[in-house]
Amino acid sequence: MSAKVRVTINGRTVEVPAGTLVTDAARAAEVHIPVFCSHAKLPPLGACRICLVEIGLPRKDRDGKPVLGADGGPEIAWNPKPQTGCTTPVSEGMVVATDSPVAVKARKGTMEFLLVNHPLDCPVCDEGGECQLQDLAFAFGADFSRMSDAKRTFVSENLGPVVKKEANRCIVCMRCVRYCDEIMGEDALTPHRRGVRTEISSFDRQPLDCEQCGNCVEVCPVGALTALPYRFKARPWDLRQHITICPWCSNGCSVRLGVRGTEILRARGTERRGVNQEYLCVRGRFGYGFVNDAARLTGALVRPPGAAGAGNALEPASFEEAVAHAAARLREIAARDGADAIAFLGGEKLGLEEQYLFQKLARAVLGTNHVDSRTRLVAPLPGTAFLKATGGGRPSISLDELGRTKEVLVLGDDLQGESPFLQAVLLRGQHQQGVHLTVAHPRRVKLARARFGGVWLGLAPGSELALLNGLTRAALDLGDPLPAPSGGPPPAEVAAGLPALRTALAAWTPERAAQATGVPAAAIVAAARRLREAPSRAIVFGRAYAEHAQAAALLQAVENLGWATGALTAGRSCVLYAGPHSGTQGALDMGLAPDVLPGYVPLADAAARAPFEKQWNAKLGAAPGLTAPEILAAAAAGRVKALWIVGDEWVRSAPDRALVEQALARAELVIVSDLFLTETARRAHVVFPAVSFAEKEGVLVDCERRLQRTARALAPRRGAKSDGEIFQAVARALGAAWSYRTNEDVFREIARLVPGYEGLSWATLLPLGPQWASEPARVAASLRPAADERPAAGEGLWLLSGGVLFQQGSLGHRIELLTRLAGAACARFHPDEWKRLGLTAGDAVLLEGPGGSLTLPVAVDESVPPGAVFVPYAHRDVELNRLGSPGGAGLRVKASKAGIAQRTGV
Amino acid sequence: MIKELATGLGVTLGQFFKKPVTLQYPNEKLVMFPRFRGLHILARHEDGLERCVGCELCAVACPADAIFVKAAENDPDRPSSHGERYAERYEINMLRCIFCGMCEEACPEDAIFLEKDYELADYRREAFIYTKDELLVGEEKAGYLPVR
Ligand code: SF4
Ligand code: SF4
Ligand code: SF4
Ligand code: SF4
Ligand code: FES
Repeated sequence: MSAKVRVTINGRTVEVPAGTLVTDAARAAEVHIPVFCSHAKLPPLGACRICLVEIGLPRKDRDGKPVLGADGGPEIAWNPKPQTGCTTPVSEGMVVATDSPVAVKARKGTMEFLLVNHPLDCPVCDEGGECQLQDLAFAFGADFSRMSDAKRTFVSENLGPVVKKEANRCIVCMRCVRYCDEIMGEDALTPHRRGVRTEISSFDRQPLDCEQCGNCVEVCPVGALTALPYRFKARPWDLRQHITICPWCSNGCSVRLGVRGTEILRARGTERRGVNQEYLCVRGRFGYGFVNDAARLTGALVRPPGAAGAGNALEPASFEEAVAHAAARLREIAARDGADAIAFLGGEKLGLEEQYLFQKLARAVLGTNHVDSRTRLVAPLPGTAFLKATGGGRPSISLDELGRTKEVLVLGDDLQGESPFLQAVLLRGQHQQGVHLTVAHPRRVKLARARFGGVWLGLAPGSELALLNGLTRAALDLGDPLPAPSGGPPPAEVAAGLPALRTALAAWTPERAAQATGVPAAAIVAAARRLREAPSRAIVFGRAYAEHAQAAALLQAVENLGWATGALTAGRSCVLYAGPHSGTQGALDMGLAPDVLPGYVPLADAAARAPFEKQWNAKLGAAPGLTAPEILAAAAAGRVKALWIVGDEWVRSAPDRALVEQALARAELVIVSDLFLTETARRAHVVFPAVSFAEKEGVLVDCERRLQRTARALAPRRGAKSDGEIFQAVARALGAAWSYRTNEDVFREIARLVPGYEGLSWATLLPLGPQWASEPARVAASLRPAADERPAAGEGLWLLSGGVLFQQGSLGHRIELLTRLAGAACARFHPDEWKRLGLTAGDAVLLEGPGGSLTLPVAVDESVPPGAVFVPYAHRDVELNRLGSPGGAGLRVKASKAGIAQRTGV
Repeated sequence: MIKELATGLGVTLGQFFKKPVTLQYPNEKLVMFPRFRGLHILARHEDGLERCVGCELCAVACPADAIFVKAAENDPDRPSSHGERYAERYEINMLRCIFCGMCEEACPEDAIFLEKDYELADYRREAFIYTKDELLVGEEKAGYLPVR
């Protein structure tokens, strides 16, 4: 902790850490100093001068002692000129005046300067009503203008589909330019010319080719940059603003929805709340359109029993009929084939309370343990796998602290597509806090670009395990696992596993790892050294590893590396799993996995199970159920007869298209709850209309295991029910005595029952909830050799896939802006591969995998390694699972030229 | 006593020879004072374009929350107003309006005025929601601004 100093601002004395800027100290003293160019996430610049204040320091005599004035207090030597508060750090005894005649005059003069060229077009400006310039001109400015000359004018332009530029209004605070460079890492904006002629634009004055996040619009204190999707839609006073959590990834950004009537008109950051404050990515900021989509389901659908096959289509039914039908069929199947013929899938997009109810419905009401939220899994994984790899639930660091970690290893994910906010945290850390990035990814993804000064470990596809083993061995060569920050030894299990691990890794010399991965041996050793020796380090992985065919071994290898480098033991370090959905962590916490109850309580443990049996008034099966991939196989084989799929486009998310089609065709009962009549819902027997994230309240757990409240911004769409209501209705129809009135009731039960959540309540989660943690760990650690020798499925080129920024899942397909930004889905090839295949622009390529084929347009991409092809997943036009399921080290496909481009087909 | 009576009757009788104040409404109509505030109009510029730019300042100034404005972007080839923005929908709920004139005062474009029309009775509630086509003056009144 740095030393504290005392400053007096307008007569109020506060104590703040040395080095605090005057503007921040003023905030602590609750004195308002206006700012334009200063921004909490950007270093001081001092461009706009609106924060001018009068500053004085105690006068010192020759011995450095303060001179005392007539009143006995220290005599103040006022600086002859006003100073900018946003660039001046405080010092002991400093006196600041914001209301002295000098300060008032200076502010007024600055305001007049800023308005010299500012047009008086507030009535037609989208910023009007929430414009800082407007507010401050009103508060501090003159009420007349002395300027009679013509103002300088620029042409207003659209900088791409998101940013509207009206440079006349610009006050050249440089927030947009700096934010885009330092936090987005895009550096897409720049000032042109100088002085009064300064104009902010893209470098080539062409439409922006950037992440389209709209953060430049968000930070612009005036209306110089405004958002095109919100252009002239409303004025701020029309909007009811609700702060909730973004549904698009696991980072848990707070988003402020602006609602007029029954329509969401915009989404914004929250200035000073949440993990993200003002930041939002393009999906969070512009991806709310599906909520008001006219195609949403507004009533239940039931496929009448009787003649199977074509002809009996889904028919509208009342909610009560659908509930009764679903319950009757579930009861019938359970009675005839046993509860084990019923499986529950999905739930990663639900709120925590609904996730809890979903598994309670499965386990307590129907008596099946076939529950899994992880529908994209290729290989079966225990429910504790992710928690174990990230330290078993021991206290971890926050995203904010992650941005100050000295060394970060990013494994396998392109964070730009999967976790945009996490990427922004790391980029900002790299820029401002000296974070060093190491990116292990076969493609040179954005984070691995040379300008971010990190190291790119461009491993050969399929060699992930080899790289992790190589790194672990190199780290262990530097010494035993580091002690815990408290000084205590690492857990006993770690010490116990160490000898066996060392033996197993003996073969993984840097040279062997280098040979297997294509990464130079020196780079591997250096990366391990950096991780181990940096004052703090973090390892980040995401769904690329989770949905890998070797996931079990990879997660073990990540854990080994975590212990070996100290990421799991040392202070200010962590291993972070950034899952794919807003509810990924919550689903795991709430036991949406076949082998664990909420709170990672193992089903097999009778004593730990008892409180649940008591609360739920049910006998729980001790045998773990099937995981998602096993449910898929069992349903396709006809062993699982009833499926309930919640909020998941299973037809696209399951690893094997042919198998999932077969499973859905064979199942006697498929219940789907979703917002839209998805492809999966079309194949269902009962469809429940669910509500969107904006129409319900609850709790979400983000990737740092932080619990955050979500708020209801809109009344539910007529006819639609929240998933919790649907589960409760069916449970009651099945004879359970559930009587939750709100999700808060459910949360109370969770807080009573679930280990790790004790003592929490909705009220404790505002404004920012805690990260749950548990000491001792919920899951025991282990050090174990990680190996998986199975070969990849298929032959030919390695198939690389991953999330892309503009398309993430089936809801994104409904948003016009996002689909337009995503453009056509292309199979991307390295120039060498491109030449070898004889491709030319405009061609299409036929990809053949073990399960089927895909035809896609092609594109050249330097970032894809030779011998591989990159195809985005979760893109509207790609049904990647048609190629078949990956196996072992991955999936290989045969590529051949297929004439002109055409859309995806079998 | 007689004198007082005579004075009183004199006043009464005097009224017989004055012009009557009562108006035979609806056959006769009152001419309102220049600053009378009745039903609103939306004015036009001399070139026929709408003065209103859809800024919603009238709506936010209105103490009775009687005004609804939804703005949109002008089609540059067929603009409705000067500049980029115009009111796509403009509605006043005359059941709520209290004829205070705040909207008129707030309008930066001199677009909305409370005019002289006071015959606002109707049979249906919906009829009191005056839409933009009812409020906007005809092309022939382009450039007309009420005298205040
Ligand atoms: S939209 Fe985002 S990435 Fe694009 S210029 Fe603005 S801040 Fe930069
Ligand atoms: S466009 Fe906005 S944020 Fe950028 S320099 Fe101008 S006023 Fe500042
Ligand atoms: S006259 Fe007053 S009450 Fe009526 S619409 Fe205008 S501001 Fe509202
Ligand atoms: S009438 Fe005037 S105040 Fe009302 S929206 Fe139109 S321009 Fe703005
Ligand atoms: S806020 Fe201090 S100079 Fe701009």
